[in-house]
Amino acid sequence: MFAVILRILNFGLQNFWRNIWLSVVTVTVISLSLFSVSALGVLTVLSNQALSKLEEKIDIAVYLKPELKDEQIQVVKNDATTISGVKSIDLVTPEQALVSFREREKDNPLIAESLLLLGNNPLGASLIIKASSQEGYQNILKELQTNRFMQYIQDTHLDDYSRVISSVQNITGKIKNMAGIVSLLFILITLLMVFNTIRINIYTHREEIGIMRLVGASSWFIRAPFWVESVIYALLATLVTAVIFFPLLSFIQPYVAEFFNGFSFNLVEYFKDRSWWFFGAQFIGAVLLNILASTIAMRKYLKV
Amino acid sequence: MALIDFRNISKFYPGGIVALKDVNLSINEGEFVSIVGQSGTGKTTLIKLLIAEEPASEGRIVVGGWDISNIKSREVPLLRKQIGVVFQDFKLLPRKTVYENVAFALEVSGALPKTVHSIVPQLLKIVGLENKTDRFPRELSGGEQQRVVIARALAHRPKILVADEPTGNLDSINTKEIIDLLRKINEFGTTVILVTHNREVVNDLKKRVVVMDKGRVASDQHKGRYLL
Repeated sequence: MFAVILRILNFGLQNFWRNIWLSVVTVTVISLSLFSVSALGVLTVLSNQALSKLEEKIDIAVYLKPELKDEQIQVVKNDATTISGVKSIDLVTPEQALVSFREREKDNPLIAESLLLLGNNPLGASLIIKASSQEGYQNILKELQTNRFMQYIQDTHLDDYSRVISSVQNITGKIKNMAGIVSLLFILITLLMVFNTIRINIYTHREEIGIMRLVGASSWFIRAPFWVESVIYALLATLVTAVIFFPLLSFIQPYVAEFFNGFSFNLVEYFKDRSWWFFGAQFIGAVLLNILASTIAMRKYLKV
Repeated sequence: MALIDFRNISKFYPGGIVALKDVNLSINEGEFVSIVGQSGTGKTTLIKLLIAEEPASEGRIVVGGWDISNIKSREVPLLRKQIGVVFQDFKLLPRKTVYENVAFALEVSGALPKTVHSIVPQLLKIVGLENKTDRFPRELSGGEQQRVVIARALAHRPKILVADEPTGNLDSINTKEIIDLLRKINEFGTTVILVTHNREVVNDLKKRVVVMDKGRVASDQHKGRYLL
């Protein structure tokens, strides 16, 4: 059995080498397909990252009245936790609020002087509320405006990024659609290319195939080298894509860092960590696609 | 029991063409049978049916007790290992050496390298090409190329060797060499079926002669002559 497998691999490699230029073109076309799929993957990752960073920025700041005591603040916080859709609540104490206010206004001597004149801390505590979903914020705001909370609240403020989010979603959706169409087009071209390559290889090997049949080779032994050839195309195309993909990622990384100003997101590291999965899936996809194309070509042109 | 039995065999092609009509023919193990006849009389069609390249339209073909009339495509390789075939146009692979051409028949059937290395030199010795193993087909004479084909046909130690016009492209000296080789193979016990036009060859052989005419067996004579 091992000898048979080795021979099939050998015949598959022969098929590849005997029409080397055709093989090169086929691998190039498959690489382009995989590259467009990879680009689609990068776009998806980038848009998901952008959206999650934007979503992280949304919160409701609830400024409590300065006269509230610590126990009352805790009660309000605990009450707010029960509002449906609340993911987390961070408490900013009056002292923390004062420290950050002073830090923010450190270049303004008038503010510092005013605080000194007041003698005590004029700032109250605040609650920073995050919702479990984007849609939850309006509901939380509505709940905060009921009598249960209004008696303790001085002011509320929602940092709403929903319009930015929807425009990012809109743009990335359109780009992804376009990349998807390009990928589909390349996949179709790949199918036709592999089909044609196998067809030509069957024609080139017609003499050999005829002799194989004559001397009693089984039909799977005759067909298998063409499948091996398809797998070689997929393997080489995946390697070519991976070799081009990472330098290109490194090239666009500074632009990505600039785009994600203030957040640390390394595209190269992200894909390096997932490279086996990412390119493994592409390899399996390419193998399935090529085997489909070669099987159709064999059904049509290889009579065994 | 006959090794090969054609029973009421007919073969029709589209357009009302009758290639074979009601052929009955039995060939015993170890026989040397020459099938002769003019072009288009159904000789090659009979061979095509025997090696299951085409199915018969009517009738039954039995080879070694195996009814191959409705043979499944996955069973064809097994049949082909029992029937070695030699054609007029050699069908050698030009980029393979003599040794590789013969080894190819064993390799594609899944033989182990050890088996290949042991059988191929024996076969090349039988056909007298043991000193030309590394030559390519283009470096051989027509007779030598046909001997390579015979060696390849014998690779699976078949019970039957079918030679369809094996001397059609050869001069008289090479023809005699090939016929002598076929006779030698027959003496080893292999049943040989020779399809030929060559009257001289058939008459010299003094073996069984089946004459085909218009898709039928016109005559069947033991130790016969080419009569038409």
